[in-house]
Amino acid sequence: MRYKKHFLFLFFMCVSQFLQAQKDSIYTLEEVVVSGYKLKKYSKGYKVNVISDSLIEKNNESLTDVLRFNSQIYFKEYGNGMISSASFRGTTASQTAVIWNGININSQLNGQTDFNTVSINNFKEIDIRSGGGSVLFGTGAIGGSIHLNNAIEFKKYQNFKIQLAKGSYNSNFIDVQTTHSNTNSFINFGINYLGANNDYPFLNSNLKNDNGEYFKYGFSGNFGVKINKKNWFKVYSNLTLNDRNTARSLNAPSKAKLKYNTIRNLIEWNSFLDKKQVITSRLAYLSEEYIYVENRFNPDNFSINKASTFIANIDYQYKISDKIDINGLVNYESTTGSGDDLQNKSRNTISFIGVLNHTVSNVFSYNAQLRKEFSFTYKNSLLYSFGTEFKVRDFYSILFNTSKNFRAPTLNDLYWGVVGNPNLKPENSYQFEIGNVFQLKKLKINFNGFYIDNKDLIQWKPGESGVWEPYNISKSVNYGAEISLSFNKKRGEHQFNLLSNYALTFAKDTEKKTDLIYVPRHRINFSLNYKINKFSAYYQQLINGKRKVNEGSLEAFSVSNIGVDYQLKQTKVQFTINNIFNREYQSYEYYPMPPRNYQIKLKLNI
Amino acid sequence: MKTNKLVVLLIIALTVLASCSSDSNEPTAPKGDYDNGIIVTNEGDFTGGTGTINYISNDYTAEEAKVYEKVNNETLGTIVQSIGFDENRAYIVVNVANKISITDRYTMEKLGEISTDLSNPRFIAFANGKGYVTNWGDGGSTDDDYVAVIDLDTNSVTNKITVAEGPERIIANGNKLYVSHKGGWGVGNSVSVLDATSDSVVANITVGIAPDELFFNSNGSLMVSCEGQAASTWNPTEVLAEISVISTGSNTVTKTIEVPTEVHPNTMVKEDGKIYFSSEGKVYEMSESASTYNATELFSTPVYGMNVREGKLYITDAKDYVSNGSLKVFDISTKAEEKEFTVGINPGKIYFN
Repeated sequence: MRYKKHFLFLFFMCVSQFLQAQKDSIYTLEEVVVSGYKLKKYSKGYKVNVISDSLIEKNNESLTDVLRFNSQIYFKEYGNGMISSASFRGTTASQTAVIWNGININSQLNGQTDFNTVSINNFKEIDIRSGGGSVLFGTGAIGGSIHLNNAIEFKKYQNFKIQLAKGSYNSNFIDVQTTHSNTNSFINFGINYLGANNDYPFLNSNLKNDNGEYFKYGFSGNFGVKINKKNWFKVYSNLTLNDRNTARSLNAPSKAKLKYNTIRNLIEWNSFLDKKQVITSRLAYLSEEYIYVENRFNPDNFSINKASTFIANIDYQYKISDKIDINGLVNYESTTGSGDDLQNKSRNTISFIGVLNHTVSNVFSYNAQLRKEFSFTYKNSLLYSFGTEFKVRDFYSILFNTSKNFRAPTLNDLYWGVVGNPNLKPENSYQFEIGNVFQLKKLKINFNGFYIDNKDLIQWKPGESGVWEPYNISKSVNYGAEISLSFNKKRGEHQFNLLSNYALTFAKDTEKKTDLIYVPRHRINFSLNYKINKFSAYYQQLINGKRKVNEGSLEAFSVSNIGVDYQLKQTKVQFTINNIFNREYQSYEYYPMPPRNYQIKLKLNI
Repeated sequence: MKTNKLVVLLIIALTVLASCSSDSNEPTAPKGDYDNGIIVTNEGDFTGGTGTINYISNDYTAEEAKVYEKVNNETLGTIVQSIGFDENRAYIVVNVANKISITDRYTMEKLGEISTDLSNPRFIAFANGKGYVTNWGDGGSTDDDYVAVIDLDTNSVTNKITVAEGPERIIANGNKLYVSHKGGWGVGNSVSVLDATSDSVVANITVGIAPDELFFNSNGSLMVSCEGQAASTWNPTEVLAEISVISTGSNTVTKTIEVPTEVHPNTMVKEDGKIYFSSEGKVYEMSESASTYNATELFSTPVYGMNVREGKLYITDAKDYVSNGSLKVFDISTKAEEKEFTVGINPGKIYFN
């Protein structure tokens, strides 16, 4: 039947309806740059962890790996480099928002970000914000949000950087970037390539990762200019092409291919009216396309689906006093889908957002946010966020936040063939969180407890005629506790640094009264970093608990990486061994991950 | 559904090959752990998962899940579609894994595997000492469909007979094989006749829309269940179902039983001159010799797979399609549910050992 084809394709585009999660992160030896759009200021009472560019470079050019080893987020990955979706605090794949320079870039087609399709090399830092953020970041910011930031800074700086890496299974990586900036202008270009045969053997099996080959090309350009003291222009631009076969599982071979291409453009204008008022106007255009080839030896037989999004917003910021500032924001968004399986329809929304930031005293401050969204497609209720920080002692603060968030029905949910359900409501989520921060000289500990109540979750299931259709049917409750720790010590020339995240997560389907699949109850990772003069070394380990799958459970695993690097004038040489103990592990059942593998990387700074 | 064809096929095969059909008259020792019982194939989870096999003894005292994995210490593969039996051997057709695992029918011990030259395999039948497997090829391609001819001694594909789009069920009668073209990703409306001597297509007979289950009635005519198309969001205009009756002598449709609106037969099986089928969660009974549609509704229950034996209907329920389903046994005369067993994910077919 025709619907089988549609379902098959849908499966590849929408790999998980129900997942799980975690989160958390890291501080490094190197200096941390705070991102341009004041994430911290709008995150009072929330936990925000920063992964610096030096840490990003350690994990094989994969955003999945960077976050797997440096945060508490669980990833469901269909084999190395394949479709990869996040589960943040036990939430579904479409309940983690990925924010690129302030713009939500989750796929308009399936509501998720495939973390193996994001080129990471030109980001200055990655911020991980735990908890609900729909007021500011829109749909899907429920478990948390991942912020990918390019830095446009007006200071005198010149850099030309080349990175070359060669790894196991014919993995090759090239990245070239150049940045020129002064006090009035900024220009940055980057181009990168990552490809691999990726045909690693499966441990404890005589199979290998057939049909796992992938190529990824990324181009980026970022420009900034100060027209005068009061008017700044910034342009962010990014193009990514992913050409990827879909690897086999332990149970079936594959000859399919899934391409995913994205274009992202953003223009920002900061207008400083006076010392107290700033207006920031932004225009963004995003487009994406999925091309699914059932048999890559017969590439003429394919389906294509795409979406384009236009965003315009104006943000007015007014500093009433040293202690109080307010923001008013209007955001317009129009998304149009088209393709072989999608009805050619648009979804338009306009949102009004208000923010109050108030430092009541040296010990007490809060941030309150409201958002009302009007959509021509679905009804959305009033969203809010309230976060507060109470400094009990110099070294100890208590954080609290509560928020109401949403996940909009995607274009697939609404308009897939004729089974899309235009009457879907957004998923609704209420949550609260209590955090404790202990900040000593060398040691920082975050201890957080969270509770998330999800309603009207959208799930696809066979309808009366046996055809899969989306419904607002399920409910879930997620709760848990997280500990993040960072410790730094310097003795003479020796620098040590320890980073660790532990997450305890419960996620339950409250209708079926079962645990959600692919949510590890326990998950811990840590990395030990050591540096002396020009030499540094690190050890990373992830211990991931058992996960429930459809019937039965997927075994716990532990995986470790080590790396050493040496800086010789402008050249840095890095050698990495991943999965050093050669452990068999799977993040999605029946899709084994690579055995022990190696990478050597050269980095040239001119 | 699929089962009854295979049972019919098996009976025919046994008769034709003059094998030990008389054994059933006298009590014999079980030929293996999985003799004298019900075999349920579970398609399994589509996403990289594996299909499994459940065994339930005829007296309901023994139940076992994941039989194949336990005996052979390996998984079957993604989407276990069907089983064909040839003498003491079971040919387990695994659709997405593109393979057939061959086991002893009663011990489930693996004897061999065919993993090349199959592409989206669906069902297997046996004739003239060879196996015949329907293959869709790529779902999106209409001209790569074939019936693979299997050498049963070497367990390899020796020939591919090109056929129309979407070959589904296949059954044998002597040296002739009959294939229903349900249509794969499209919708078909024909039955192909293959000759097992020349391994070629000798006829293609137009029948109703979406022909699926096939069986021979008491007169030796071929009955074809053509599902039609229910009205749905996908398909706003209903296409009526029918049962086509084909004379195997002339290869022509001699009778068409038109099925009324809103009934779209699925999982059709036959026993003692009666046919049983399901439609939209209802189970119906009708005489195989009816000249016009006069089915009566027996009872309502979710139906994913169905088979019949000795006055009882064995019906699987796939429930939510991602967790374990169940097998229910109904007594046809009392319409009462006798027993329910938990089986695997998406339990598609029921066979009797």
